[in-house]
Amino acid sequence: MAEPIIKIENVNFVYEGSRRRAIADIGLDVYKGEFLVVTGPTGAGKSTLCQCLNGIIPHFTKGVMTGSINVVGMDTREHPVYEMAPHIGLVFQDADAQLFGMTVEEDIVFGPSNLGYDYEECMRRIEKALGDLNIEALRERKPQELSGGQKQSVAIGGVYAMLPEIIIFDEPTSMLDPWGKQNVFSIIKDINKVYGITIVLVEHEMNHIAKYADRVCVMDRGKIVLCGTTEEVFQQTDRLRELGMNVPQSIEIGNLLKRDGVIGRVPLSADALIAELKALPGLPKTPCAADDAARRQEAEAGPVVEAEHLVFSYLGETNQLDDVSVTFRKGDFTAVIGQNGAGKTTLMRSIIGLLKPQSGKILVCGNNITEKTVAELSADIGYVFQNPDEQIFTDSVLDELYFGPDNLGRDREKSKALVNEVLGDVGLERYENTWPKYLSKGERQRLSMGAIITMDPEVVIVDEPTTGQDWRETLWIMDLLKKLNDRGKTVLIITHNMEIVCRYCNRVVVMRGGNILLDGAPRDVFTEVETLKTAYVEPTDITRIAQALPYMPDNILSVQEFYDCFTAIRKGA
Amino acid sequence: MLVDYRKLDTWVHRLNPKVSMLVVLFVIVASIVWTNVLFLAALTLVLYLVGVSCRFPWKQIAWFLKFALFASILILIIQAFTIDQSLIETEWIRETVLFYVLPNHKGAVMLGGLLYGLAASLKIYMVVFAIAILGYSVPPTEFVRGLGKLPFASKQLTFIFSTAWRFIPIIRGQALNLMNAQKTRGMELEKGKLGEKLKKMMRIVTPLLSNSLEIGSDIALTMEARGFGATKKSKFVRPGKTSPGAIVACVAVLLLIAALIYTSALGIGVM
Repeated sequence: MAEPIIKIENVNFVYEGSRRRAIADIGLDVYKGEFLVVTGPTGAGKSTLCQCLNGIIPHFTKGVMTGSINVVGMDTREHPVYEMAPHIGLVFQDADAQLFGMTVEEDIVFGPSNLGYDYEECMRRIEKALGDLNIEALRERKPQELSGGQKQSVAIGGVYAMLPEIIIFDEPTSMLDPWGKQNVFSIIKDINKVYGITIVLVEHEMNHIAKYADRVCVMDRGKIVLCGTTEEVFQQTDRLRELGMNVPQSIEIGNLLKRDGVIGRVPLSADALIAELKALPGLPKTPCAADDAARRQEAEAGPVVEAEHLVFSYLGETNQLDDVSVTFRKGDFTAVIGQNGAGKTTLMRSIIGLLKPQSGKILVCGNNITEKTVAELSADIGYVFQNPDEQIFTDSVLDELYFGPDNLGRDREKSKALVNEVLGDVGLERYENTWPKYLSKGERQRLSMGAIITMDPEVVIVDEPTTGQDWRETLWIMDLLKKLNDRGKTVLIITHNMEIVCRYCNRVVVMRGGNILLDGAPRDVFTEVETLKTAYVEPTDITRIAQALPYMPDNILSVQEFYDCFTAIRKGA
Repeated sequence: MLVDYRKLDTWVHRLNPKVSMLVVLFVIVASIVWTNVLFLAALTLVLYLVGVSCRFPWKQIAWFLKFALFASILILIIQAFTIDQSLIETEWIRETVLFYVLPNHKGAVMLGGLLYGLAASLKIYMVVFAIAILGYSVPPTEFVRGLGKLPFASKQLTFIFSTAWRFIPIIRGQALNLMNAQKTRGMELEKGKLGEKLKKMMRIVTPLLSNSLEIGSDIALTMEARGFGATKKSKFVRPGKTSPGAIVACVAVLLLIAALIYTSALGIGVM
């Protein structure tokens, strides 16, 4: 067997000031040319492991490390990070924090110039990185002008230009929209398959893991708890769920069909499963109607937000909102979806008064918002920003929850009951006097939502509530919103996650180029496949699989629906 | 930042960056050696006309101009009453009293003081106009590249400069988001007395500072991962080509600066 390119032997690490082992008893070999995915819930120790691999731990981050890591024959404890850098690169989560150059070219050359290469060699590497990663067009652009996906591509280019044998990616797509994710994954795949670089990818986007990985290791509480080929790991659906992981829908249904003897092995992608199911003999075209009466109930209540003929553009740019009219009724749970730049955030920020459309009218709870300040409007309509760190101001969790009601002049005694209830709902009872910065990202996101809920607004708007969260946290956040919706509040979310749209929302508004393209129940909207394509929106895997099979209805929204319908058709046949 | 770089095709944008930087150096030297209001006013006017000709966005520095106007009035008042006469070389200006604000020839308002205050104000405007037009017409990359070529500038210094330029808009964006988040939580940022407003601002400063520290820490990690510190001086120096015209212009501006210093020593441009 070939010698491993990375050899990890019984590694433990405890951060300075902590007692808990962030990673514990890690032993792992990685082989040349391999595409290894490390996954697991937030706080499992994945990022700590990444930083151990290139020597940031123990040279830069303080703490106690035991065990040894050998990378291309170098013991990471004996070589400083800059000596490891030519052999092992690390791409971080936040693209903004890793672009230093004033242009893309300047950024890409940062690594090679640090390694002491002369002008000619640096230029050769710039050309190679720009060419191989297909980002030549960005060469002269300023990093701050790029989209999230482009920024991350450039960050990868900067590491790639150092021509390392191994590149580690620490959740490189967690802050990107689906388009950006696809772009970055395609680059990572090429780096591995075409250019032969060994990849260690930390990721909890399970769909992509299944597509690209040779091997998957699952971490939990600092330990590797599952490790094997992609197929081996994804067969353990129950164990993955136990660990708070989301199993790709295609694999979930594949496992069910394999159990029933319909298919022999579980394909690792939706396309492969479609091919297998299409080849099954003797299935008639008798689509069964999926029962979704509850979701189909139209909200008959009165409107809470009415936007009419909104036009908005930033100075000198094309219209971000181009004559948009939309009404949200009391009790709606609506997802606003579409590519970045489609106008989703602009529409929502106009509704809360942060942006002033050049023309049009907005009524919130029957009142024209032009007559009110944003602060006055906040009593009726709450807005949770995408980044929790940009909306937490106080020194304790409890103060944060009282911040809004206090500003609205509400009596503390009267607010107390609601604050206590919300504290429980967001699962932060134990932390009421904790400095919010000490909470995990998921907890901070819940806190920022709680801080809006304590203001008791009629409408709650949440901008990408689950971005960067693991599946367990995603479900917690969405359940919290569902609870709010069940209490009669109107909930509007901006999201790129179609699976949660199908699970939780009764209405979907699809935006494209500053216009509303589609508006209706998820079951109706996701059947408009061709129209959705123009907005770069793709239905979930399970809907896509059903739509590809002539004998299945085209409006399936969940794995259970698919399974029930498929089983009924098989029995009928 | 006073104003951001904009990529336009005006004669000022087309100037060689080295020439532009030397012109700014000329303005700075003039602001130091000249005290004559007429000279300073003429140069300020020239700079204003240069700004107009290169479509400089005056609106963007309106906030500063308002602040500078307030500062100018303050300087004028203070100088008018408290001018140190020895600073003025021209005798009649030094000795002319415009009027008295108090009875019995007390509280003299001196012509020299007023002119000196006016000169000080013009110097502020002059330097600000010059630097703002430079920032507007020369790409930041040129500054950093120029800095990197200087023999005394370490890689760290160049890096500090470029990082600051790169991250200021991010921090500015975060500050704006924090303010927006406060408004959506019922905080009336624009209302209240100065003390109240300051207290509200403090609510933004704390998270901004903590977020900035986090960004700083992330940057440090990323730098390490990309080999920062492996060499002391980068060997990656772009071969820069300066056209003969630009060399002539640079020499001409340098000669002008020398002439400026020499003539001011002879009393030209001095009040």
